[in-house]
Amino acid sequence: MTAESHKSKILLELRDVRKWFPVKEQGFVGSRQVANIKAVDGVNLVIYRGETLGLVGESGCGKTTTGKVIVKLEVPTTGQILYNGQDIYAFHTKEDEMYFKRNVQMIFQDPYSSLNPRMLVMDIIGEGLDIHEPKMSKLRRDEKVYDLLDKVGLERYHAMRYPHEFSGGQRQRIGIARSLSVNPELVVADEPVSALDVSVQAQILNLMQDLQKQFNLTYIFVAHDLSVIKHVSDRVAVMYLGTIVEYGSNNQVFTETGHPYTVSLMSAIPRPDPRRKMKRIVLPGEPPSPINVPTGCRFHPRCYKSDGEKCIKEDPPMIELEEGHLVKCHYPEM
Amino acid sequence: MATVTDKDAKGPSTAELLRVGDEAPVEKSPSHWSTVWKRFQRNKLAIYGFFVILVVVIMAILAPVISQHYPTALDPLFDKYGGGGADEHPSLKYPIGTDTLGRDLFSRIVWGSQISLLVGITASALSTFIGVILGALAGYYRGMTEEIIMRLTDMFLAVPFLLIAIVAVSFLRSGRIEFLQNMTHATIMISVLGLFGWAGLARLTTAEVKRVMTLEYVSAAICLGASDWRIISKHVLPNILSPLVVVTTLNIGGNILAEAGLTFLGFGDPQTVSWGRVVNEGVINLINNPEQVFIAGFGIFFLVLAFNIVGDALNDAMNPRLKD
Repeated sequence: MTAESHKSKILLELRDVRKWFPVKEQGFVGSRQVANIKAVDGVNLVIYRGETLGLVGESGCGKTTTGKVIVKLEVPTTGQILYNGQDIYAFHTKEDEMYFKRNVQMIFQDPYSSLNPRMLVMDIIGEGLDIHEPKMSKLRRDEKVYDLLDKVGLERYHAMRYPHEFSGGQRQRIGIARSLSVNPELVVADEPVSALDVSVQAQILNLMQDLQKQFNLTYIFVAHDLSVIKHVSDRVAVMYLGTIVEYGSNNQVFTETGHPYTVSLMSAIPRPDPRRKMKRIVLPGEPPSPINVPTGCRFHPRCYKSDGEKCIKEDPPMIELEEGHLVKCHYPEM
Repeated sequence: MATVTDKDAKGPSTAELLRVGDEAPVEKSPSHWSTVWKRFQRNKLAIYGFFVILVVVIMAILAPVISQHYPTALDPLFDKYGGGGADEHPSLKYPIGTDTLGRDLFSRIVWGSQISLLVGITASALSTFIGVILGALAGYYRGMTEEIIMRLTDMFLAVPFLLIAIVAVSFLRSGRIEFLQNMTHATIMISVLGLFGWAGLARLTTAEVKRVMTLEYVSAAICLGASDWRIISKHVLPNILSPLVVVTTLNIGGNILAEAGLTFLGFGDPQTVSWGRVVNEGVINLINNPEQVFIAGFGIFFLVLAFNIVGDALNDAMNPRLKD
């Protein structure tokens, strides 16, 4: 598909989004800002209608913060987020705001803290309906909840239970049902399976894929597990220290890997083939602190390709290796 | 007749057996509070505490029925045969004796329980009300709101309570301000104790609200577009209720004690019967009639102890880490 035909299908666009958290020092009177944690530092992303975009990176690289900025749980420091071409931080009316909230939902990471322990499953799932359709009759609301329970693979009688009576996987199903209750277009899934057992992970991933077809959903799938990302994503964005370092279709990123960071991540995926010679690239050191971001290319202190000169001085631009495959590196692979 | 049909041979199919689960009665599972009550009941000491409170409550409600005499009547049975008069020891006529003015002590204790409970419970309710509202505002809105409310809380925590209470009570009773003249003893005590007792609760509420606000179910509610009121009332407050209930229960004990203490020191209305006043009036007869002081004193002691035990037991029963 060409870029032109994609234009009309753009659902969400992030333009140079930054989220800096101030580090404050408590003074005698008040406090003063001494530094910034640059959790998200200049992210550009485009999400097309109906696709699944995988957002992958190490812990602390800002992928969760990116997800939170998209659903308006955090306000970005600078930058724009356009939903259907409209800046989501500049809505004029309450209706626009509510329309956005209806259409962009989130699935949370921790199935144990994402459900209110004092509410019945019925009310947890029905809350979106209570908020957005207050005039709906109790009977229809309950019918809708039963329908959602059925769609996520739970039983009707589960509606009258409290969250603590469910297992992690079942809780995650309830969380999914809650986010789907308002019929969203875009769902940001923040590590939806990383807290679950591997066997349950597969069930939830398959459920999410089924629901994507049924509800015509667009997913932004945040995860640190490359095999999960490979399984679910149409396109993949690899994040490192607050920026996107590689961005392309699933195939491009996983087989024609361009960025040295992605290459080293790939080499860490275990492969069930004893004869295969593994070349593991072990990155030296820890990811640098997002308070003091390295100069030039952010990845240069840990990169095996760093030339020690250009990489230290110049921040590499996004290079388009091929149609839709972008890499932020001076010396990409290939 | 041995034509066994296919269906009989197989019995119920697996699918049919599995359906049993589907048709389980759609019953509400036990709520949090019913589990708490179940765990509370298992605590023997707590049941005794609860029993003591219940007895005092019944005594307070049925005071006109239980006591034979009006609590301020002087030697109500003076024309009857067998003892009486002032400073009478326990006798058949007066079950626990009379005080210096010859008033029936039993009636005074029974009527006095009304004031103790009324002041204790209402003052605690008042401070919980103020504390929870201010704490929820501070914890939910943060920033400047929190800063202002927390500094106010600091101020109220630094106030020397006894001094303020004494000043406030005597000021209110001095009759300088017209509309305050008609305030009864109980109203004065309740407002003083309630208005000066909320600071600790406000702090607790702020901290708890801030804790709950970081949980993902609150984020989920924000994502769904829930209003501030919905988030506070449906997601935050129900989840911080346990510590609030515990602290309020412990506060009741504290307030009963404070009321008795202030009355003992001579503040409040001499016309009003309360346990603190009975102790106060009995002190002069401590050597000859020690029962005057001790019965009322132990009444206060056991009631406060009961509230503390119940508060503690509630704390244990509501601990989420203890699962049955």
